[in-house]
Amino acid sequence: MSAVRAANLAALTSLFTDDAERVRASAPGAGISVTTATAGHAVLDWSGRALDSRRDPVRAAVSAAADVSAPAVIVAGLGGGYFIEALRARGVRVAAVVDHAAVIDAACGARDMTGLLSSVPVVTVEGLSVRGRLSQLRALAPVLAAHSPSVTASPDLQQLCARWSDVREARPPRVLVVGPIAGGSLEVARSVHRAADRLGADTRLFDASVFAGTQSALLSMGVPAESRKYLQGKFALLVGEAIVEDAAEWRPDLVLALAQAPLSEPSLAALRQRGIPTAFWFVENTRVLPYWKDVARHYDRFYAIQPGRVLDQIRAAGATHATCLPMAADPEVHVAPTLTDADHARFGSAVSFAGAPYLNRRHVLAAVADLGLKLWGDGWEATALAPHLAERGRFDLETMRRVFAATTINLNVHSADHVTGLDPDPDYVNPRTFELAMMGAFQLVDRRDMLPALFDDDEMTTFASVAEMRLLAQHFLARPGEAHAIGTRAAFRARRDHTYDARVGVILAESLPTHLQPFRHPWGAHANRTWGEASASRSPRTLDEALAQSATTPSMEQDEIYLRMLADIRHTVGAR
Amino acid sequence: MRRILVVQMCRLGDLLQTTPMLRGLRRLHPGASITLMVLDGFSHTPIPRHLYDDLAVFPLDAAARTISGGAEQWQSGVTLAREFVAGLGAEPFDLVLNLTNGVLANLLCAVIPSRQLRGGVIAPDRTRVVRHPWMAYFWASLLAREFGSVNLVDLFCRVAEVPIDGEGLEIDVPAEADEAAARFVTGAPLIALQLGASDERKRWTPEQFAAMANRLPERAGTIVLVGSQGERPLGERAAAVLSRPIINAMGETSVPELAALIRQCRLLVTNDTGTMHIATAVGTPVLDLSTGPVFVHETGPYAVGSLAVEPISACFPCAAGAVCHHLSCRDDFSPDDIAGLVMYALEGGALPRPPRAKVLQSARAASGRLEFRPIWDPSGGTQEQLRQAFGRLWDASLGHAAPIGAGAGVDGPLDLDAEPYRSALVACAVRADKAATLAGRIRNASPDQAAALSARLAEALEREQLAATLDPVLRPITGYLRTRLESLTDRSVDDVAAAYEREWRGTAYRARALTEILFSRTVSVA
Repeated sequence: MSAVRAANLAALTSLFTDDAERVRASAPGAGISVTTATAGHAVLDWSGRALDSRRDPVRAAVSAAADVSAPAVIVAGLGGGYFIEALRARGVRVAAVVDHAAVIDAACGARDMTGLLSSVPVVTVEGLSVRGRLSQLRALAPVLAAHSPSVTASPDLQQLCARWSDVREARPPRVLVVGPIAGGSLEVARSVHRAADRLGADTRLFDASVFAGTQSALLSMGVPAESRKYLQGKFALLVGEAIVEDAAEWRPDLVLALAQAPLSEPSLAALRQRGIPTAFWFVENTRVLPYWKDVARHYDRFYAIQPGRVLDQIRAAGATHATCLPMAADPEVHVAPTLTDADHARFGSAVSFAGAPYLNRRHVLAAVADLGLKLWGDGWEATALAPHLAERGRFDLETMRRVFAATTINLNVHSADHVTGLDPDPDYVNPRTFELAMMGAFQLVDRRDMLPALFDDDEMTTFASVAEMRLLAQHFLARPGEAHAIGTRAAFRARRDHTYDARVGVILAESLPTHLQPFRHPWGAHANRTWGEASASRSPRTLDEALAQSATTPSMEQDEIYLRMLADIRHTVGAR
Repeated sequence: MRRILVVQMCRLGDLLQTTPMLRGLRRLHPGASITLMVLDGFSHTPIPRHLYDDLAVFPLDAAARTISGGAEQWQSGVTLAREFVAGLGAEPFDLVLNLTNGVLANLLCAVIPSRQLRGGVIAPDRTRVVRHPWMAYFWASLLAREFGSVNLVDLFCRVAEVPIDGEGLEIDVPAEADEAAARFVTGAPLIALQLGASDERKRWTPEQFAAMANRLPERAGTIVLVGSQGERPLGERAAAVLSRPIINAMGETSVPELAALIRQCRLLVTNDTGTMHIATAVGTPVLDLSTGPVFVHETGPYAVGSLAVEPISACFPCAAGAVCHHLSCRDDFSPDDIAGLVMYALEGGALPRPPRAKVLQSARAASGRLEFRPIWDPSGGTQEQLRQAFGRLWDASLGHAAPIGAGAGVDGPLDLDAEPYRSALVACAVRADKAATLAGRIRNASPDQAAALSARLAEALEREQLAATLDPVLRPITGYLRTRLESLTDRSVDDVAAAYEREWRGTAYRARALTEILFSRTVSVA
């Protein structure tokens, strides 16, 4: 392979992975040759037809480009790339449709087009035949500009030009996010809503917290407990009906509910009857809140933060698709604040814990009481650790961020109300772990089964016993720089792998049909993005890209096996 | 059996620990060609040539350089790996023994053609499956290490289905190595100290070694420091504390020369290292200092009478990949403790009794396996007794070739109150029998009934795992069951059901067998 072709193929970008592969794997086309124009430029010749001017293709392209006034166009035909280069020189954003992969291959061998190919996504007619892709292309730019020689030579491109105006523009998927009336999942719902929006979905949040006042009033009514329960049930049904009405009006492509969302069985049945797909992300401990058993079979997809036998239980409860999806953090929310002297004075500590005084925490935290422990939360005043209570109450996010950032060691002890030691069921990772990590705040967290898969040892420090927790606390109090370094590494990892965007991306990829996958429009709401960023894929340049692409097949092929070998070697040698 | 491939892509010590198995394969399959697959970094390990026919050296370092060379150069790394596999030949191996606990080896076994594979392999659905009951034991034991009871050397023999012969490890020590080592031998008795280890968690500090050596009487011998060139800084730290003359051979010997030198020593005091296995192979007694993730019951020096010291810290042993910031288990035995044990090893007499460490000594079990049994245990717990009980359970339930030669030993009576475990084991056996019955019913069931029965079986496994959480004595049995069920590759519903029934019956048997062992009755082989 010539250096020019290799460089061009390496620079090639495409909107669709398989299309890029098709191009890279294509053989030279019969009947396509490269000649030289009078002005000295390379010209492709296809069965005797020149795909650019045989005299001066550059001048001809500039002249043709002057007729294009739209800010963004889809160009039918590539030729030698001169027309597209002329359009780009005028500031027009371009994507190109090519008749045949062999044409691109020939063009790549003709002259250096690395500048063009690295910023102009190229798709083939064959690649557009997958359902939904033509609409996605149409959504990028309404105007189709024909590269005349290419269109003349190609019946497929002629057909594309003829039907272009009839192509319906792809629309982003509509996602209705439903949060709880109150509770920890409320903020998760808001983060999920933001993430879906960033991913390119048209998203709406059903903010059930507006009903919190009514719920609170019902809870405090001076009637017998049974009556209160009855009224609460009726109220929940009413809120659920409101959600169904909202969905019936807006017609989302997916209703994505978070734990404790007020969607009971009748509401879910109504959504199903209306043909609206549903997904449930249960971001709580299934052992603590067992109501999921009643609704599991009503959701099309069930995501839990616990794997293994919990998923088996969920499937046993009737869920047809149950998957583990760990918690995450929001990079827009869980941000380390800049601390003032007053912040340090109020929130600073050597060791702190913020949260509720579950039985195990009352005992575990006593082991570090003499290390400068500060506690934040309600209920500690009635415990033996009361002298260490800094402030009581329920704190807003701004306060919590300051507590976390001003502390040398944040203790993160998963709650258990039936033991005095560490949680004996370490099958999930709490949101606090990810939030602290995202903020770069150093934490000591009790060992959890899933943690090694989520964070490496140099990104997260864990303990398996109370004695070990104390030893570690002493170690890091003496070495705050080391603690800071670990927290920084955790932040990088959290931003890369543990954002709500990543999690919601999984839910949408699995819940939505292909033609409704979010497609980032480069010239819509996120117009500050370059076309290169909006390109969905290109042929793998790195080992990680190759692995990601190969892992999409239903079963492992030989190529993937060898790629995984290299990845393991990289990991092993890197760990030495 | 014409072609056998042994995949041993670990370190020098692991290769030496494979030699009894290779010897057994030679005896059992005298006409077979044995290929030994190793990593390039350890291809010069002096494994006696008569134990194998071909050496396949996987180019790990060369492949790693392609990855680090730039974004696109990884493709040449793929080519290297493909060419390596192609170089093994297109004809399938009659038997592949994957003794390596690692992803790379499991992936290689997925592409190397074979008629029979024992050990781990990555299946097409990208999960790891484990083939052969003894390898399933090994993988399951990693999750219940506190009950681990089978030395790797014996495990390899079990997987290869060759008898344990009690002849120990082998290493090739050519005459020129003896000549080179002679320069360190002064005529005085020598005690070798191995200061280094591959992992800091496995390393007693050089200062502790030196303080221990300072406490030894002169009659014990001359101290010789051994190890690699890279470990010389540790020797310098020790030298700064040592108050007696030493011979510093660190970085001065090749592996064969090290073996020759160790052979001249009356004792090796060592961390868990390749040097320890070299000493065992040349017949030098060993005092093994186990800390961090080291577990003497899995990797202890393979010779009868070897001594080992273990801390009683609650977090010991730690997981293989764990990062430890406090390393406190290293302080559970003091230089005084170890100096006392050195003199005990050399001269006998009263056994030292470290207040925070166990002292163990190896002996043969009746099945031929080498066990490390406590001769001093300040924790006073029943852990060691349970471990021996489990060792006998696995021998009885997974089967093994009868030991030959000096391979057989004696099983002493267990000394523990087993009553707390009875009800958990009895209940486990009852549950397992019920689950086996459920699995048996699937074969004649309609699709809907089969689905319902499968769901109940899934619940049964979940209950068993929950029970193991509440009663840790069940963890090895449940872990083995789970590993076996996860590794099933049967395709038809009937075959899967039969496999499930078999594994659940096996679980019931093991629960009952362990009960019998704990209450000292004869166990019938399953």
